[in-house]
Amino acid sequence: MILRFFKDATEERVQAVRERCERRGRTVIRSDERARAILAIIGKHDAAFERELAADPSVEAIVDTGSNERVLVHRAFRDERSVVEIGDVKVGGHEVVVIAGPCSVEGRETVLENAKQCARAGAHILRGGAFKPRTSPYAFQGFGVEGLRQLKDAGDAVGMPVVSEIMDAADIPAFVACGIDCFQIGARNMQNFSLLKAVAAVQRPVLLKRGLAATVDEWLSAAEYLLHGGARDVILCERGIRTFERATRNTLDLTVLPLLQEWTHLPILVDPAHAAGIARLVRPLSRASMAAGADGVAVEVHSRPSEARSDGPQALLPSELAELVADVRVLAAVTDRRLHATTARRKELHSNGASNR
Amino acid sequence: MNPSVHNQFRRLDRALLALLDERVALAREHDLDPSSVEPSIDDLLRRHAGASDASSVRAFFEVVARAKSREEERT
Repeated sequence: MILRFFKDATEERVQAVRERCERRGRTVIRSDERARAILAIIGKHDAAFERELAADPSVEAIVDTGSNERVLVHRAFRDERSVVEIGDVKVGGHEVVVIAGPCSVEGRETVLENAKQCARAGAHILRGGAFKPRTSPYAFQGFGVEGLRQLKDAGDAVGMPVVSEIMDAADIPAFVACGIDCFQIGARNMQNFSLLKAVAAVQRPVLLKRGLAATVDEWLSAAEYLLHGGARDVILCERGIRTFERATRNTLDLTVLPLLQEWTHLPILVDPAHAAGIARLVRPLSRASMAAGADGVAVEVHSRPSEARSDGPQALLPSELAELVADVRVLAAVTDRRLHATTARRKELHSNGASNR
Repeated sequence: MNPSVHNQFRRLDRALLALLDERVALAREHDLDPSSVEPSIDDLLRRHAGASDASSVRAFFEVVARAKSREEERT
């Protein structure tokens, strides 16, 4: 359960309630919410004890979280929805963002070219895979640590923070050493609990993709692992789930967007490219995502998709990314939000971006 | 007026205002004078097949082009 105190509750009262819970064998975790004290109480359900807590004059509300599995992710654990800072880019809140880049880092020159194209098109965060989870062991597996370095260098060159997928806890030191701004936990590793715990301990922003057959509850439980393990900044990313439908690679589950806004304080992005697997569907699905309340979209971009070493059929051309960013700007405005502003460095590239192909 | 229709008008007006704000904000973000990125009114009219008459569209975008930020209004 979650205890929400009145805004004027004294610290002494909050501590007294906390100690009472701990004496009864409960684990208590305090939210870092500043507007009021909020405590997550983890332990055996006891209706009599709940009534006792509810009677405390400093407690405004007790929220029954239903189980101990999803408490720290619960919407009631914060007053406002969380805003995650990746470098100088804020994800969540009033602004929306576009993450773009190649599926795989394919070399120093190509990732730099790609980064410039993404910056010119108005994207905010550079993505790129260096460790690739591929279905086939014969498919391109990524350039590993060297790919991370190339991605970070490209991001630095254009003033964009970078996000990359981590598959093995043993690679964490390399991710940290390379300065990767946000660790992505991919769909296939969403329930790799040892990886979740290890990444959480690093206390860097984490982009948690939904498993390809994961329920919303399982997805939020994975996010709970991250928060419980020490991660402060977690972003959810819907990327399509496997259904009976084979016309597209996966089925984009937009239903979760308004639902998760009720259930959790975490920001939610959408990756329409992995859902559809077809580049021409990415823009309309991005528009749908924004209309349904996404905090942004993550897409793949390649100047020559047919030559991409992975996921070429779902990659946008840089010119198509620019159109998508314009769409996101319009849809953000009419849904009472706005596109994240570009930084000086990206602005410089953006302004010089007449040739964007 | 039917309340539902009235509500639709209010929602459209809010959307128009939000888009105007966004246009001004984009110009500020890139250190541009909003009037320097005037809408291509003739081009818009050529492509336009909607319900508004040409003179209304022209007048509307002439106003849009003159829109400036609150900060600029103060200076």
